[in-house]
Amino acid sequence: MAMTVCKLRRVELAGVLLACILLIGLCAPARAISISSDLSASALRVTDTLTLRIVAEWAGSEGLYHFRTPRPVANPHLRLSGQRVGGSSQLDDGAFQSMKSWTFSFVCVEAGTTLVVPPTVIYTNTETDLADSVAGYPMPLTVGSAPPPPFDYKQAGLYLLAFLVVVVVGYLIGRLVVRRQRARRLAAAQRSPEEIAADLLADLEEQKREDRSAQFYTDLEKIILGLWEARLGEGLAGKTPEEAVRVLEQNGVSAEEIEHLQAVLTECHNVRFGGGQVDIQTMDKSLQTVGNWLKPGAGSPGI
Amino acid sequence: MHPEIEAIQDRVQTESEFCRKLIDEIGKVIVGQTYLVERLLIGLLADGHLLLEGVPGLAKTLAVSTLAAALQAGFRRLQFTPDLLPADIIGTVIYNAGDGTFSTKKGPIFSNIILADEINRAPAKVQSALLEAMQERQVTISDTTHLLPVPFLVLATQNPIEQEGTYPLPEAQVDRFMLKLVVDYPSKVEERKIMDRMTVGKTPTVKAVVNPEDILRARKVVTEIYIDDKVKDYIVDIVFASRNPEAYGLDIKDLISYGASPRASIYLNLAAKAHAFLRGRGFVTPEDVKSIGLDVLRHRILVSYEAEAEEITSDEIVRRIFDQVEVP
Repeated sequence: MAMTVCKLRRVELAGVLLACILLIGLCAPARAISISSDLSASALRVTDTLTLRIVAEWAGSEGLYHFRTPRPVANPHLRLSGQRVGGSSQLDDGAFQSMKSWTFSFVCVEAGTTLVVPPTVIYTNTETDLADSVAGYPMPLTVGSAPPPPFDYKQAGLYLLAFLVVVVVGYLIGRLVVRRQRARRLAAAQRSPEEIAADLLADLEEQKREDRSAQFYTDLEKIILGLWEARLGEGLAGKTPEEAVRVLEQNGVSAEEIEHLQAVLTECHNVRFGGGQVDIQTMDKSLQTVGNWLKPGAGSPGI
Repeated sequence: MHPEIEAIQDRVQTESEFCRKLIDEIGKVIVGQTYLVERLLIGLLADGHLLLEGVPGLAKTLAVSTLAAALQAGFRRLQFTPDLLPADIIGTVIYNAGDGTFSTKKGPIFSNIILADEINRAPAKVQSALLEAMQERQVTISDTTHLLPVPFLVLATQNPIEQEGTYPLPEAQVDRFMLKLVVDYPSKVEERKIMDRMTVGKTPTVKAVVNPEDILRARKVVTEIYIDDKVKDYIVDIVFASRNPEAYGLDIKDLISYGASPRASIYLNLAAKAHAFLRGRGFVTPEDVKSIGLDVLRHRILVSYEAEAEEITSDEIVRRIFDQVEVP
């Protein structure tokens, strides 16, 4: 119960204070100068421009009042982009009527709802040397998000053009590569197995080294078996000499050719598995023998 | 070729001279069957026992007896029957009533070459007695251990189609045979020769052209034959592919119950060396391994029920392994 009484007393006290303030306001003398302020809009979007205009009007000559330049109140949603001062005085029925205006331009920089507080206008009556100030009323302002950027047809056109150029260039390069590969395949297909084997033998000749005898004869065996694979169209890789010979026999290869193949493979195996290391001259001889055998119309020299 | 291997090669060529004589002598009786005769020699050279399988009438027994006849070595033939006892093979101790003493009567196993004919007709205890002697190279009769003669080679035959009244050899005992040979029918030309040779009323005979010392010397050279690391790795790959086929890209795991044992690696190595010896080479090539591989592995890879249901034999599995594993 004590708490309720206490609250009621506080409410009553606040009401009395408010009434006093209103009474003082009503009793104040009317000003000889009229100051107004207005905003160009109450709802904008980020990047839009807002104008705050403050106008002071009075009866009398222009020099009757001296104004201190008002300073805009900082607002996080707005950025000052310019300000302009204007003023005029005219004679009407033998009496001067003057006005002075301050225009502030802002750019909306942040979305949200805010109150725009006009700057306080401070002035001095030059005849009486009395100074006074007038504070404006805060005005609500809603700043919306930035509008989507306008579609840039020119830039889009450039992008499209660049894309088309890339596509066309890619297509042309791809076509060129495919053509070259086809040409290579055709060239390879047109080459006889003997020509291919001869090329491989030439490559092998460059790699011959005494300490690589086993590898040399492994490669030589591969070349020979590859040649016969191409000739017969039947896989021989991984076959032992006896198995390879059997395949050749089944394909009706002449006894002379079979004998030669057997001799080459035996030579290769002797080095590869006989823990052998042969000299360069022996390798040369093997290459020469196989090379002669590849020549068209050559007989079977054997190794 | 490396000088040391060249020296081995020279010795191989010298010591393998008798093989030609032996093959020629056997050829007087046996028509064709090159595969069989060659494998018999490999068994002889690599000191490994052989199991021969084939339908009746393919000269299995004749080939073995002819080989024995061509060697100046003892030969005994044991016909395995369901009522055979271990003592009938290894021997026993007998009581001499005259002087009241016991004396050992050695069984027919005490010979250089034993032909165990139709080994799967005898019960397990007899098979076991023979197989133990094969492994240990000695026999214990009563309290005394007797060493078997050298060379000692068991050539066992079994008949694949006569399932009635047979006792299949357990896997562990089959594993003791170095090679299992499957003897096939002769070709048409060979069949004609056989017919001509065996119908003239006079059975061809062979004379002993090789003595046991030649065999022992040859065996020593066989063990010295060079086998390159690449070939050794190849052998190990083959054996491992039978145990872990997936690692070698083979889709046969479901077909194999058990892969080959380490004996397979040992016998592949030895048999490949003996094969190289027969070819007059002082070193082993993958071809030697491939040639002998099927005979070494076919009885060491146990096929699963799935394989049996699909009628896939161990021969087929071994062929797939050899086709897949990369030759060095």
